[in-house]
Amino acid sequence: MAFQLPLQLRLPKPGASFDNYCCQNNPLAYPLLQQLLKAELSPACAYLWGEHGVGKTHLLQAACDSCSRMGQTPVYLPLEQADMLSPDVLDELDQLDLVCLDNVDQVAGDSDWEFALFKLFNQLHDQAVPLLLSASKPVHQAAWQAADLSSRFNSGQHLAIKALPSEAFASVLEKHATAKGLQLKDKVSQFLIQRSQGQLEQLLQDLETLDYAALADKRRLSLNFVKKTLEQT
Amino acid sequence: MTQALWNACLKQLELDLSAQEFNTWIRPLHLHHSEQNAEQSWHLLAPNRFVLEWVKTHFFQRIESLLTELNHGKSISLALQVGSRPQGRKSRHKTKPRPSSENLSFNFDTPAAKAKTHRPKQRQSTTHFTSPSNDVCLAPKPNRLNPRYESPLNPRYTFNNFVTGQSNQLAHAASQQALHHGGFNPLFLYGGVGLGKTHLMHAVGHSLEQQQPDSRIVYLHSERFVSEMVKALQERRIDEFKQYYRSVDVLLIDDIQFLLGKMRSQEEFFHTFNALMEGHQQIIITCDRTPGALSGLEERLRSRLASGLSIKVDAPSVDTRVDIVNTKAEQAKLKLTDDVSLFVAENVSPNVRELEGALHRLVANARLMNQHIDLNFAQQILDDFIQTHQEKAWTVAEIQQQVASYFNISIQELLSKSRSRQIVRPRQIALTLAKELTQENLPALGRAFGGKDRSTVLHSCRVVHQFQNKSPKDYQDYLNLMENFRQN
Amino acid sequence: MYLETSRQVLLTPLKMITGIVERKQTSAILGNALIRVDNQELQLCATDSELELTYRIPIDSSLDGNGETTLPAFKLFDICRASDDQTQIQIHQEADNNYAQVKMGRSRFTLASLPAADFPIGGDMEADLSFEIPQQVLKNLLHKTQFAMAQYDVRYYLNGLLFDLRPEQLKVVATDGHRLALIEYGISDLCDEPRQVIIPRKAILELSRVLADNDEPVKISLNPQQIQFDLGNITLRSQLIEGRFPAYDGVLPNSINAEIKLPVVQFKQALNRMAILSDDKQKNVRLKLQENRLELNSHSSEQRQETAEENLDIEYQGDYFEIGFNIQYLQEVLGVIDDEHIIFQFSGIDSSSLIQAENNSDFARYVIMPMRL
Repeated sequence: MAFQLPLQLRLPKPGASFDNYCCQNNPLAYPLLQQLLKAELSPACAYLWGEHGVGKTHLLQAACDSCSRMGQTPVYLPLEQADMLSPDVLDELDQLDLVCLDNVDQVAGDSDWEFALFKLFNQLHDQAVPLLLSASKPVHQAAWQAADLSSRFNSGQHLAIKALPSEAFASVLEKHATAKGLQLKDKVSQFLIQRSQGQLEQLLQDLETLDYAALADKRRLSLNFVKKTLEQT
Repeated sequence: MTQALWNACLKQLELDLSAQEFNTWIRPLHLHHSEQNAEQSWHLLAPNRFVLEWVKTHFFQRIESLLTELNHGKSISLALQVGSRPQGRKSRHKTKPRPSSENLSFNFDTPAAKAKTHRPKQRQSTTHFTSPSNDVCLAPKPNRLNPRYESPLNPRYTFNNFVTGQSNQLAHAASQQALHHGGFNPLFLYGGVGLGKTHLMHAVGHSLEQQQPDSRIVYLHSERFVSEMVKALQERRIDEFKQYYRSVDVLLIDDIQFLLGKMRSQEEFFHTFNALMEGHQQIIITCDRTPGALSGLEERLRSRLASGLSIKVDAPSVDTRVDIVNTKAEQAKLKLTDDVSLFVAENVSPNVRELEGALHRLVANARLMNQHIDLNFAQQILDDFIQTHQEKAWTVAEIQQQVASYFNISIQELLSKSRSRQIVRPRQIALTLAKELTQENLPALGRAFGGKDRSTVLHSCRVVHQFQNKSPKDYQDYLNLMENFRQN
Repeated sequence: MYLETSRQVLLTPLKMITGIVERKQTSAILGNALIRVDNQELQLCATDSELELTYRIPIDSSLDGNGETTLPAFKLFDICRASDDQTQIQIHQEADNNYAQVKMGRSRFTLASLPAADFPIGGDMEADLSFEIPQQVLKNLLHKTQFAMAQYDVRYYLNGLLFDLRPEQLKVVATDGHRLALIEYGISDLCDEPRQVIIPRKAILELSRVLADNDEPVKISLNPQQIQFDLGNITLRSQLIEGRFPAYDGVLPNSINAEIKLPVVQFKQALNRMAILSDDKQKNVRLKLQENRLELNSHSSEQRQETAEENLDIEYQGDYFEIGFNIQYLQEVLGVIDDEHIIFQFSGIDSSSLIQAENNSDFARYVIMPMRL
């Protein structure tokens, strides 16, 4: 059957900010990071941990956004991509105003990275530059070799980030759909949320799929269309 | 104007790039414009070479053409440079001094902290963008000759707030002696992570600074010594570097074990060390192990380090830990009930830094949730922290890794059939630790160590425990390692 | 209010403003046209509450009385339409009366009026940016792009035209998600910071109708919610579509693997013939590129398949390949090309293709996604 391919149109996504952070289940995240950014924490280090997909990256990037708005210069480094980077990327970051390291535990056990992190931690500490870390587990559960590094990570604030409750999925889904210019009927939302089985990422992934399919077919998102489309994936 | 242009450029790039690209590579950049003799120059400053190279290959053209467009088509030729952003942060520091480090309270400063605020931030990178324009500049502190070569003393680390107990009273006494001429030189403090060595070292620094305001007291981490030396070599100012360290009055070097395996740095440090010793200048060094256990350090340097007084800082007992917790809490204007202090002291960690970390967390959470700190609350907040301490089970591989890195040998060497003493000792210690810290049975342990049989394993354990009488130095290594594992 | 004028003065303005009025309205007054006499000037205005079109017509004041009212737009237009050019029309509205008298020749109409005070038109617009371009230039920019707008897409932002204001140029973009039209026009010192506004489809269609083919300027004014076009005696004001437009730079093919030049007329005619046998919902054509020859073919989907085939001579030395397109998308692009030849560039059989006029005098580019056949 003939199939019209759609253009790869990408809507500019609104960047992560505290304004678009859903704080259900994590009421402390925002106040804690505000204190960090306003240099009210000492040591100026916060360690956020939680499972994949609970919104740690959003918080780190929101902190960068907030820092930029104050006219300062932050940096965000995704250490799950350490393979593409080099420990050298951490050099001289104490000149900046905020350093965010996402998935820092991904480099645990790599001595070059650990050493670079240790060096960075000390430099930032000397300069009282805020450091914001995220990881999937508490410090001690990651395979850090250097005890002096992990104890430094443990010297600051810790916060366990929890997944958004599934009651909040409907409003998140609606927000994302609206941002794409899509409207979802209640029964479609319910179907998608049920299908996601509590995984927000799955939910948003499904929405992406539907967005593409609807653009190709110039269709509205009826329940039938949604079911048929998602069955194929 | 420049800032407006850059902001407009950022806005566009934020729309065009993925959030990650933007936050990682674009946000840390800074646009700088200068005009001299009617010649315009535009510089894009990146914090380090790696970022610079990445930006050059991935985004540079785009940024340049975007800037030109935003400049209404008037071409902007842009030069990428490693450098730091001027103004923004400086002004922040002027208006709002950061609270001192290790200050447990958030906005209620302790008198001690008020009396002495954190030193203003100093630029330390060697690769500063130095331009004739005056908004990129490096304001040298009058009493700091060259801030790039040293770190500020932490104002919270004073003798006043050092809690002594059996585990550290010797080190405390020796440190105080260092304040008087005729103290031990060098003073070598060693022991596990986070037990207060750095605190003592800074305390000496502060006291000396008060006694002799004109003396030059220099504190830095040994890793910094290495990287600054490397840079000095690259930038052909090694003489300045040598001159600097050889002319200080008091040298405080943290974590000397980072010199292991770095021959050129050891050499340089050795000469610095000698020059200072000849001039009877005080040197204090901290380390995670005894001087004798610093294998990978040149023999002559090792013996020099051991020539003064070496004192071990032990993990504090529970009683001392309770004292520490209470003292730190008092500093934060916080009264903890006995059961809470005891709970924290017993459950968190023997590591003082983490003990403080735990207290920070309690205070922050209590404030954020507007709650009183009782035992229940403490248990709830420190839950993940404590569980991990109790549940941390070491794997054989982790133990091998840590032991190998402690002795500065490779895993391959550790598991080899080598009979050299340099390898055999670490292997025996690793086997013993593996037996004592894991649930693995003897055959499994033997296999994990490259096919040893069970009698070899048992033999190793016996040998290691005989070190206690026969070879105290080796036994110390075993104890140090065990302590490190226990702490984590 | 009293107005007397000839039918010919009113006809065109009424025709244009009734284009704004929806056949079904949410409130009765939106079905009316505003008629206001103010000294030397007659104002005619209609709105659908998002889009508003106003005509200002100079009149002979000796015959008129100042005042205003609103009357059913379509009825008024139909009354005018049903007579000759020279016929005089008189409209009389007494204050405090719910009816207006309309006389035309020997006919008399009593029309239900609604108070002008209730007519929902905005006052003067506060603009934060404005610029001028010649009417025919703007008309061309719209003409070259508007066909690619989406019509009833759920993605509201596609049902309109993007004005992408850059510091030194205006880019106009339309896309329905399958194809995209982009045209650029240089305007010096247009703005300092880039700014994007999306103008609803209906406003664009109405604007195209009122723009003249001359160099008289149209003044375009913007604020965050609205855009206004001033063409001397005509003013069109529209709400903007909220939200963002997709990043369109990314859909332009970034590597061209094949390129051919085609004569517009022959290609258009060949496509018309191919369309005869393609009976899919979306009529499609298969293009086969081979050495110096372009083969087009299509077929019906019925059980007894019928086929159409045609060859065009081209200059092409590359590898053989086949690619499918929606015929309508090609036809619509060819329909707005002024040149004799187009350059058709392909980046792959399932990635976007680019069409430009050979001389590309007005910097228009067309991106079309292929079909998988």
